[in-house]
Parts: sequence; structure tokens; C-alpha cells
Amino acid sequence: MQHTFGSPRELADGLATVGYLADEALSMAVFLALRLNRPLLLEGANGVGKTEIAKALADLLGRDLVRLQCYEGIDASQALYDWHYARQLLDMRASDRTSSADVFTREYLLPRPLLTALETGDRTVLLIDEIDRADDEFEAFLLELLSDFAVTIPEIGRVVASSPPLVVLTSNRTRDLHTALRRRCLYHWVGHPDAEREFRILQVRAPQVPAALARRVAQAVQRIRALGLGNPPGVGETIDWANALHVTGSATLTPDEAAATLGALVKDVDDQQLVAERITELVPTTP
Amino acid sequence: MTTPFEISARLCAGFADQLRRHGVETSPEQTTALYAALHQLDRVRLRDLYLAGRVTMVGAREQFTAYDAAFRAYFLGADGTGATAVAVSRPVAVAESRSPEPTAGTPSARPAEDADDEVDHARLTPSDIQVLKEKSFAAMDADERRRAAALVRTLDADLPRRRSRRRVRAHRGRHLDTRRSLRAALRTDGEPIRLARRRNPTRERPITFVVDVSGSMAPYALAVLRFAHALAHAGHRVEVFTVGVRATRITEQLRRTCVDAALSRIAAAVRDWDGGTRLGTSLATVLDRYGGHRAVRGAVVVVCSDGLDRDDPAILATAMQHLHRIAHRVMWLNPLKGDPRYRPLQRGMAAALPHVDVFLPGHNLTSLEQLCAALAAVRRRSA
Repeated sequence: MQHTFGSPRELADGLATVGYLADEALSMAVFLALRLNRPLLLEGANGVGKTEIAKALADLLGRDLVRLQCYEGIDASQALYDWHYARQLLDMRASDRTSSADVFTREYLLPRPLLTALETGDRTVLLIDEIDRADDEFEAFLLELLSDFAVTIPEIGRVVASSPPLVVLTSNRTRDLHTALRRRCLYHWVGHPDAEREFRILQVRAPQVPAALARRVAQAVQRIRALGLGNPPGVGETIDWANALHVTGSATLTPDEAAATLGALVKDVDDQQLVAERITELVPTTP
Repeated sequence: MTTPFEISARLCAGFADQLRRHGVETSPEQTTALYAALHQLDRVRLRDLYLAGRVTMVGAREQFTAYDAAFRAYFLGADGTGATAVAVSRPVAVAESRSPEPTAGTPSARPAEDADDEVDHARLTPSDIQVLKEKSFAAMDADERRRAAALVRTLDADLPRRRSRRRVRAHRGRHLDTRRSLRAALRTDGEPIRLARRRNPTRERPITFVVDVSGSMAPYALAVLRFAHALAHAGHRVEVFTVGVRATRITEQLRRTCVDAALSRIAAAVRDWDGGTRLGTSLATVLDRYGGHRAVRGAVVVVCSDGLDRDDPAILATAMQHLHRIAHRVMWLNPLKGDPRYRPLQRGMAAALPHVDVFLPGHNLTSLEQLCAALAAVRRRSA
């Protein structure tokens, strides 16, 4: 099923139906990535929902999500393709010695995420997650894929996507990405949501949490992020915290309950201490 | 409301030009993307124009401010037509006009002297070099500083390494290279006679300099920056931050081949030369922005400061503790330590010291050599 969206606003409305609340800038970025067939590079702090965007898009567009989690040392045989060595070896030895068995053809190829995405084309959303964790060599290897939606396999030739897949790259900025990669992509910085949007996210993602509690959680999280913690909580943690408070039977947010369930929100002992010291100003007793 | 601008190739190209003048490098394909993008939008509001431009023309968050300025100048310029942009002077030009009279502490381009360095070096006798090596950077006159700069360039460090996760082809190694083995087996009738191997190579850890550029540190900071430049051009992965009133990342500026050109670029980028010191706060800023970055996590971090800090020492202590946890090794160069009577008693230095692995003076050439030796020692220990 192929959807077309006339404007960024329509796209944002569409994303809202699958439970992702995108702001104006993000919907513009995604809209253009779809229309211009360009990869979309998303950067931002941990836990702001970069990966979720790709999932929501796959959901919305009715496409399969092909995910490639990057790590240091990832190479072509894990990302693109590998040969089925056992079969190649067996067939080579079993084949009639007079015929020339070619064991470097498509049927001996094991597709990995990138090749799968190229072969299925616009029926997939390709998520290249945490590209900054891969090394420079892998980044260089991606350049052909990102500009032409094609890869070259030496033994077979060039594999070109019949129709370009939607490619989403995410980065946490643990390393500077090369300009060559940035230039091939559209770029968007994903920031933490403001209190109002976070409240709406809570209502969508944790509907069982009462609205009054959700609103106070969203406000408290805003104040906690402003403290300048080492690891400021992401949206995922906000949802966890709201759920934790709900499970423990809190109808509203009090400093005591906040302190007791803080482990769901702040996951560093120094940060927890900092928050605990100021819990009464962060979570005022009167709304 | 739609924009009063006609979406034309000229408009896009003009905007790209404006961006370049604001220091945002754009490629023709990005300009093409902007042009195509604007034709995908029905009624282009100014806000759409802004967002579409940012998504296509900018590749990093650091450039958003420059983009905003370029956008204002081009689309909201004085005459409002957008056809002619407000004249914007290049940031480099501004920097050059800032310091017409270079002071001792402020670096400036001196290409003429730079050419003489090698000749000078040849004229120095071994005993001259020894005297120069022992002399504090602060006590040197212009001539000696130039000679010392030539000597700094000859320094090289043996940085600690770590095992890479990537596997490369090798004659011997613990991993089997199935692909290459099979290729070889084809020639021998499908019989794998020689097994090809892969192994994990080692990679050099990055070295990161955090240089205090407050007034009292100026001569030493310059020498350390020269040293960092020498290492960068010897092929090491070097990152440099300056701290003082605020933190600035100057790695890009240091990439210039000519050290004096690099230093004058740094002078333009760093605004707090000879300013006061808020060491704790600016170090915390570096960690906040780059704590997860490879420039800090798992790197060898060399802080160069006299430890005179106007901040609460607790801030510096917390920052150093954090740094020590995430970095591979933390070294501290304190020029005051060059005096044998020196004791690290200032509150800032005392707070930082428990979180420092190697504490060196770094006030003259000999102590920079000691730094190289210390780096090699770290490598031997971690190997």
C-alpha cells in the first residue's frame, strides 16, 4: 500500500495516528526525505525517539522495517551480504568435474539487512541505527548506497534498488561523521520535547496513566532536564516513570513518591543524588 | 501567507552563496536538493522555506546559528526583496581586524619567520639546544620562541593503543577468513589446502588536549598548541579544546598545515585569550558536550592549566572525577610545577589532583619530552 502525503502537516497527522507526535521541523524533514528520495540523518541525545521515528514510519507507510544496528568493526559480510560457504564448498565438490559450476551467483548469496532493503526497494524502511558506532571504513562503504541506492558486489556486479527505500540514519554523536556522508543526507536534529508535547506523548504512549498525573510528570521532567544532569532522561524514561508511578498507585505526584520511583527516570547515581537533593522544588506539593 | 520570493534556481544558488559567506559549506547537490524540495511544497510559507533550507543545506547542529544568520541576511535583508543580500564580512576578516598589534600571548601569522625555522635549527649547537630545552616558555624572547617552535615540531609520541573490533586480513591470526580460503580452494579443486586468516589489529587511542588560555597561561598554551599541531601532522588523532572563560573546540582550526596559519585561525575562534579562568565550568561544558564522544571516552586526555580557578573548586573536582571515569588516562600539565618549590596547594589544583594519573610541569621543552615518555609508558602498561 502506497501512501502519498500532500504536505508536511498531513504527514504529521498521519504519524499521530500511529502514535508518534512529530513537531513541525521533523515532519518537514521526513516529508522531504520521502519526496526527494534522500536518506534522512537524525542526530540527537539518547532517548529522544530517533529510532522510534523509523518504526512509526514503517507502520504508517505499511512498509517492512529493516534495521541495521551498527557497532565497531561491522563490515560488508554483516551488513550487506555473505556467501553461503558450506553450500558453495559442497556443490563445488559434488558437481560434475567436466561442467563448470559457478558458485558465485545470487543463489549462494546470504542477504544481510542492506541487500534486503535494496532488493525490496520502496516496500521497506531501512534504519541504519547508531551509525556513529561504526568506524570510518564502514561509513565510506555506505556512501555508494546512500547516493545511488546501489551496492557493488565484486563477484556479481552492481545491485541497484528498483525503487529507492526510505533510509533513516541515526547518530548519538559519539564520533564526528564525515562531511561526505552528511552531504548525501537530509539532516534533522531531534531535541527533547517541551512539556506540552511530552504530555501528549504520555497520553498516546501510556494511555492508562491519568491525565493529571501525566501532566505533572511532564512538567517535573522538564525541570529535571534543566538541572544539567550527566544523562538527562529521554522520552522513553518519562514514559517508564509515569508507568511506574501509576503501577505504585499514585494518583498525583508527590516528592516522596517521586523519590521512591526515581530509578525509572534517572539512571546515574550522581544524577539521582542531585535530583533527590532538590526534589521538593522539582516536584512541588501543590500543583 | 506565501513567501514573496519566486522559487528560482538563482534564488537557491544565491542563498547557498550567502551560507558559504557565513561559514556553512554547502555542495551543489545540496543546493539542487533545496531547489527540488521547494518544488515539492504547495504554498511555500517563509517558515517552510526556513525549515526546508535547514534540512537540505545544513549537515550539523553546530551550523544552525550560522544558518539562521544567513537566512535572515538573505531573505529578510534590508531591502526585503532577497535579490541582494546584506553585505556580510567574512568571519576570518573580522578576526584579522581584531588584533592589529599582536601581543606576546596572542598568536599571529608570521609566515616569513616560519620559513627560517629549519635554517635556524641547523645553526644551533647541541649545547644551545640543551639550554633552550631547559628554558621556561615564559622566559623566552621572540627569537628563542621561534627556535623552540622548530624543536617542538620534531617531537613525536608513542600513543597507547587498543584492540580494534574490525578484522583485517593477516598471515597469522585467530580468525578464519572463510571467503579468502574458499577462493583459494577453487584453484585446488575444492580442497582447502591453505587456510586464510584474519586478526584484530590495534588502533591508536586519540589524544585530547584541554588547554587553558587564560592570561597567565598564554606562553605555555601556545607551546602546547604547537605540540598538538605537531602530533596531528605526524598522523595521530588529536583533538583540542581550549578552556578559559568558555570552552571552544579548535580541532578543525588546527588542521591547517602551516602551524602559524593554524594558530591565527585558533586566535580567531577562541574569544577568551588572556581572559580570566572559569576552569571548572568550562571543563564541565566540554564533558557535557563531548562526554560520549571518542575525543574523550577512552582517549588520553591532557589538561594543560595552572589550576588557578575562579570557580568553586567542587565544580572542578566533579568534572575531573567524571573525566577520569570516562577517559583512558588523564594527564595534567601545570607550568607552575616547573619551579621545584611548587606545591599543588591552590584549591582548584588540589581538588583536581586525586583524579589525575600523570602530573607534569610542561613549562619547557624537556618537560614536553617527559610527556612523550609518559605516553609511551602508558602504552607499555596497557599493552
